[in-house]
Amino acid sequence: MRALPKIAILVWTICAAAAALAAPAGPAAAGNGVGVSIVVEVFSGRPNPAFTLEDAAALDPLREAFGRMPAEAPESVPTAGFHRLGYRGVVIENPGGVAGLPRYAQVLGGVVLVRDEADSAPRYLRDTESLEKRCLALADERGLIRELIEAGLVPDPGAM
Amino acid sequence: MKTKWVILLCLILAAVAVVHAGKSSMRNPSVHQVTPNPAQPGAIVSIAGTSFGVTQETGQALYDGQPMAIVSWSSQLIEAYVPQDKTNWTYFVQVVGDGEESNSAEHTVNVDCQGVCTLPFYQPERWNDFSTVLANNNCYNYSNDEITMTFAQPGRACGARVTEMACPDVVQAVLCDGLLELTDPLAACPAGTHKVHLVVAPNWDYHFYRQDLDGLWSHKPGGTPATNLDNSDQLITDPAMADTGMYTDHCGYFCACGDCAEIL
Repeated sequence: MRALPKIAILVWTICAAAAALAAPAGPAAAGNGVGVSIVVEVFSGRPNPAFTLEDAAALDPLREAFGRMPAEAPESVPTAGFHRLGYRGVVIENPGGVAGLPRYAQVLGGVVLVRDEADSAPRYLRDTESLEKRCLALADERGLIRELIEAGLVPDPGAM
Repeated sequence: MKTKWVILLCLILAAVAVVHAGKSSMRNPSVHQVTPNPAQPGAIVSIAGTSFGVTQETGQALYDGQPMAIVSWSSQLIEAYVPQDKTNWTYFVQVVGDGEESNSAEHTVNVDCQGVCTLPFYQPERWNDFSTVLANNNCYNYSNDEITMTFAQPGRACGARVTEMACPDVVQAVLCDGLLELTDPLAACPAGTHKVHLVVAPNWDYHFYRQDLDGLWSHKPGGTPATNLDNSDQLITDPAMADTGMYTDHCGYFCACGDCAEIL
């Protein structure tokens, strides 16, 4: 009878392992297991500095930020900077359709240009969440833009 | 008593093994890559992935939802024909086996130029579809009027990639790709080809403009939308006179063959 607890623990362990095997793979927050790309748009020919956010700890704050930012009237938005040469903000690409985030957003100078469908007109949000600064800080933490900041090609998130 | 527990344990382990094996065998098909990309209508493409099934049986490869004619089928590689009726666009490829659908992989059709260049006209919506084209095609794609989905780089197709961001290096790569240099900027390009203009931000980057059918110039800054405005929001009548921002070095004019450029 003294062996019974040990066996029970073993069975419990096996059951837990079986449950883990049966569980779907991928980060829960991403929904479909696909990440979100953050691209610092500064170059035109060369590939731009970019990184991917995949885990819930990174995606949840982004999702919350988008949930809080108020709409901005299109007529009050200076859109010229979104397609100029040189630094033109941070692009957030969500090709896999991670829930709670737009499919495409470009953040520049306090304004967020959002596109939800391929053929839809853009809508605008006011960047009340310092989204541009936060994305640049994440890129800087990853060592992607320090050289560009020092050359004055990309704003320093520490000075924004 | 011990024997009974050992038998019970073995049964549990066997059950776990059955569950795991069943899960493995029922895994959804997954498409990793479709090559070559782009390809012409009617071309044979290879669809690489996993869990397609050892034989085709009831499986199908779908191109834009349309069943593809199959050349060969194995668990990790399918060869099939791109449907003939497809035009220049990016489509989705899926594999369906045992009722299970794979993910959708993007694949681009590029209709063969057949030696005929096409002159570009200003049509930004062709380039600004953010779901596919926008981020994967840059100023070099745009100036050549060629969607490759590769963020094309001068010289990559011919094995002469740019190592230094300076006019001579980029020009050499552009010529290697087959563009024709215009020593006289006012001279006309050969019939059917169009003018492009190269500028460089020394040590950092390069950028291209193209002349459209209406005589004005337009460009696509990196992964962002195409525009016919310069950095001062002015229409571009000559890029040499335009506000080109940090791209201060003007490297010259070239002639490109729209839709037929050998770029990658």
